[in-house]
Amino acid sequence: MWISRRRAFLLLPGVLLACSVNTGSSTNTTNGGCGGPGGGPWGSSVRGAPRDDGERGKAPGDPAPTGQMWKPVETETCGRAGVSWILVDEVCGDGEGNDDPDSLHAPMFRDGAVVGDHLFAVDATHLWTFDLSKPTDSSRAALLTGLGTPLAVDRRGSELVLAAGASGLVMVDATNAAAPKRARSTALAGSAYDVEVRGDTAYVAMGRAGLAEVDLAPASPAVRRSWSLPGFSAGVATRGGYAYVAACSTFRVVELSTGKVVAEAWVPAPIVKDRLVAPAKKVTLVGDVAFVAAGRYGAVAIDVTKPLEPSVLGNCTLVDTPSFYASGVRANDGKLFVAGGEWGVLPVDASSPEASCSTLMALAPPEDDPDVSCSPLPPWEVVPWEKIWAPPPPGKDPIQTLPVGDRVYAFGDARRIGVRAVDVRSALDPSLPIVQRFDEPRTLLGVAAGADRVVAAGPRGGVFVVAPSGALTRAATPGDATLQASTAVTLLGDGRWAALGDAGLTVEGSAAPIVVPAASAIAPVSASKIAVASPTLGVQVIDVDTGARAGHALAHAAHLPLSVAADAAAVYYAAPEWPAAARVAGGASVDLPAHAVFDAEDALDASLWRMRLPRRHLLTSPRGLVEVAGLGPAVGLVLHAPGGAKRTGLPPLTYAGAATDGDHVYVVGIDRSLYKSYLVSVDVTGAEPEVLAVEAFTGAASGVAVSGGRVFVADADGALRAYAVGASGAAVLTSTTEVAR
Amino acid sequence: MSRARLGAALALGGLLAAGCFSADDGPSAERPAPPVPPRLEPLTVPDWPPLGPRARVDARCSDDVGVRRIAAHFGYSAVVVGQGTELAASFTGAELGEGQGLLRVVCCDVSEACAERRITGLLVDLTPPEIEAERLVASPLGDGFEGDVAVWVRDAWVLGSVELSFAGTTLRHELPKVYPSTLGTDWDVSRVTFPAKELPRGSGKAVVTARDAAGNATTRELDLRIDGAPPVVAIVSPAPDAVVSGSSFVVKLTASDADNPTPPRINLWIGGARVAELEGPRAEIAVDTATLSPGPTEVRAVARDDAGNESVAARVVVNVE
Repeated sequence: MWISRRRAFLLLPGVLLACSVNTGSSTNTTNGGCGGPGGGPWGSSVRGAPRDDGERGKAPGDPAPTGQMWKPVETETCGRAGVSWILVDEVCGDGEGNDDPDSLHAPMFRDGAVVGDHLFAVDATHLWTFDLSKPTDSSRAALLTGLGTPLAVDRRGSELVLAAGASGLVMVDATNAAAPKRARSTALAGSAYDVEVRGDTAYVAMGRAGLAEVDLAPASPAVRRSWSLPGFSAGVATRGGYAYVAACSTFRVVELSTGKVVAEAWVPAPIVKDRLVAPAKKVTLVGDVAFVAAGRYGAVAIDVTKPLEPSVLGNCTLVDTPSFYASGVRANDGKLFVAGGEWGVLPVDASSPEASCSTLMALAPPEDDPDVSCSPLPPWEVVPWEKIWAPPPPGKDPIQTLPVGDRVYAFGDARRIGVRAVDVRSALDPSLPIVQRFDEPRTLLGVAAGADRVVAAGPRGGVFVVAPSGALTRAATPGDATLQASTAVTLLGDGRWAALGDAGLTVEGSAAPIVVPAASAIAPVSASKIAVASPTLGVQVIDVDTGARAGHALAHAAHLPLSVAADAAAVYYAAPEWPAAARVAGGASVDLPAHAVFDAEDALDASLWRMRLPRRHLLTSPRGLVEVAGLGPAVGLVLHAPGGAKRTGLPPLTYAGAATDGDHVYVVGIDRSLYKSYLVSVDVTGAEPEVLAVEAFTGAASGVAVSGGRVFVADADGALRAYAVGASGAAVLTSTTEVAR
Repeated sequence: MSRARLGAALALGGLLAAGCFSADDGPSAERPAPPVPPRLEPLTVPDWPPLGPRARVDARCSDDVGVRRIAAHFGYSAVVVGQGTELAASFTGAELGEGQGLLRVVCCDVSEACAERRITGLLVDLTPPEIEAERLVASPLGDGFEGDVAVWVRDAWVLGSVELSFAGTTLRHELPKVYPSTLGTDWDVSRVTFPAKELPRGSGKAVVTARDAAGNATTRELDLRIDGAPPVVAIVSPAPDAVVSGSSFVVKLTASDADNPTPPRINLWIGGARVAELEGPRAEIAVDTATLSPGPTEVRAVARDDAGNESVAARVVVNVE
């Protein structure tokens, strides 16, 4: 073979390959020689497997906007199935309706009525009463439950008529506004979602069961007639022998004498890509126009001059404002008020109702479901902890309005993770300024107990003397203002209280607070020392008398507020999302054994966070460190005993505090959607911890303390509950002390 | 001498040492006719499935003088050498290496005249898929999500099929024989469901086998339970028509689910308002009466197991004073 020198250079790589193989066999070469791996001159055009992004269709981490809910739907692309989460209307769903009223439990008001000088608001579990005659006092006058699932309310004189979900129609005697009582009720063929009262008759929208007409005059209200209608009847208004029904995917006119659907009208193409984009939810009549609350379509105006020939006139909405979502609509004195969800209240001039919303604005179909792929970012950034307990944001999120005189009451919340709220706005000003606000009380935020006194933090906090009987009496002290500006309190070893607020850490009797930036938890270490935990500063042990500090960096990054506990030997701390707590002793930080309630992989699962945020409470006791940990559906108590960890499950709740007397642990939990709180008594003396008792009460438990054979629970609703420790160790309620200003 | 020239000289020296060409060659020697390259037959690779570890790319080469070698260059490089005027070679996926890109097959004769064939975008998949359990407790009575056993399967390239064997029953799910548009960019992921009503009731080990399109397989043994029996709930106290007074009253509940090792959960309503969710089989809770109206009040309980089966509601009416 002859190869010119020039050609030899060109063939050099190939020749090198040829000269380094074994004869008579095939050989893979991975390092030089006759070839190379994928990165070599031949492999450079071969790419390896893509990165696995962990896509798995996990549930979204954010709560749904007001008036809507997340719904999982199966998807299929290229024969590959998956799960996407889409936003649908909370009542209408995809158009077929949501026939589970219990799914509407949320910490928000849904509707209300005014009787005399009292406002009555419903939140799907309770009826709240507010006194309107005291503009400067927004405190609640009464609270009533046992009313089914109250979703809507109208009035008949001084009687409130509640559409109470599966409990049908429930009537409340509000003659004594400060003490309303459940009076009567009527079972219905279906769940009650909306009600309108005309004289002695109530018309009820019953979802898939249609409509009912109830005679309220007799002592026992009776269903006079009911009509099965197609679709889902979500809202109703009546006039002149016709019922105008907001029926999710359409608007129907029902002739009451026959129960027949005589006409239908709605916006074109209310269903796009199998999604209901114009959900007809509520309806009100102004003159000859029916205004229907319809989600992003706002208020749809329908001319019903001729009930048999309704025609859509147009709609009033904010096309370029995604936060505007109409869930309710009412009118008064020539003005229409549209409850636009997180956007607020949209006032519309309805003096000439046929001209109020005269243009039909079609909205673009919703975007496909939001990104549900796994993100490399920690999921706990989605819900910043401190925002939940900050002062309520300006009133927003109305789901229904109630115009009365020169006022408009907007019922809602401050996001689904916020608090129930009713904004009172002035209807005299087109901007509807807020003149008053009623919301969930947050009067007590923490509690500590000593031998003969209980100290509470929060707007109605202070010092309470414990009588031998266990009764509590407020004692005015110089530190009351500090306690009332604080969010947490503890007692030092010498009995002084130490309270944590925006100004810092203040000790009873001291002149100035100790600055502790971003502190989230405190725990006594000794007579004069206190442990303070902060995501930015780590754990500090501060001598409150000398100011000396000993600091320790956190063993791991913390994204949620830390919990801290201390005894003579060590300081313990943990962020709620950690699989294990840490212990600082002798200047070194060491991880404790994992609590095993959830692991590191669970902590990255946004769907679990959406179910329930992680929580952590630490307590020191003679038997070992007690750790209460929870995430999603799992909550457990772990006793880190010298011989090994002992564990038990706890009821699946969001726990707000824990305390121990050494032999027992008392934990308080809260379900904000139900406005119910729970005290769980646990025995930790046996081979395994054992739940002794569970007590449920209406309110918002914010802390628990134990002292002298008694358990004290702070209820943000405005009370201190005192319990005696029974023979079994279970806490038995002995007194409830309302904490007035 | 420049570095380039030095390098070239050294390379040529190496070639001489290897006997790759004669030292007598040179521009002054009489030049023979250029060698005729060998004839490399066209390569054939089926459109489906992608190459797995044992799949082969065959090459056949012939030359008038003699075929020296056939080499395949992909993620790895592999060479077959031989003698004679014809040579056939098979290259397995394992020999080619995993990846997607350009395959070059080069045949050279004894004169180092070579012929090359290429396949662009060839896919070789050597890694088996992964299986992740989503829902391993399901009810044959359930609708939608609750009525299905569900797993997620994922493969770096292309999925093939998933099979579930449980208590003598085998269900198979075949994915369409297509290449997803995200090939090479994202993993191929699918949620695969098996209707609970098509599986025998009971608890035990299920064997799930996932195969990708190239034939790589993964098998996992998972604990599975098909539960069609709803739990039973009872209100032990208060008794019907009991008078409850004071600040609270105690509700005692029991719930049983014979075929379920996991205790059912019990939901409690008082006066139609949901109060608590408790864990069975026995639960006891004190309920405050401060916000209840005096008079008849219904206490209702419903138990639900982890397969989604619900009990018939237990109800009593008490009189609140």
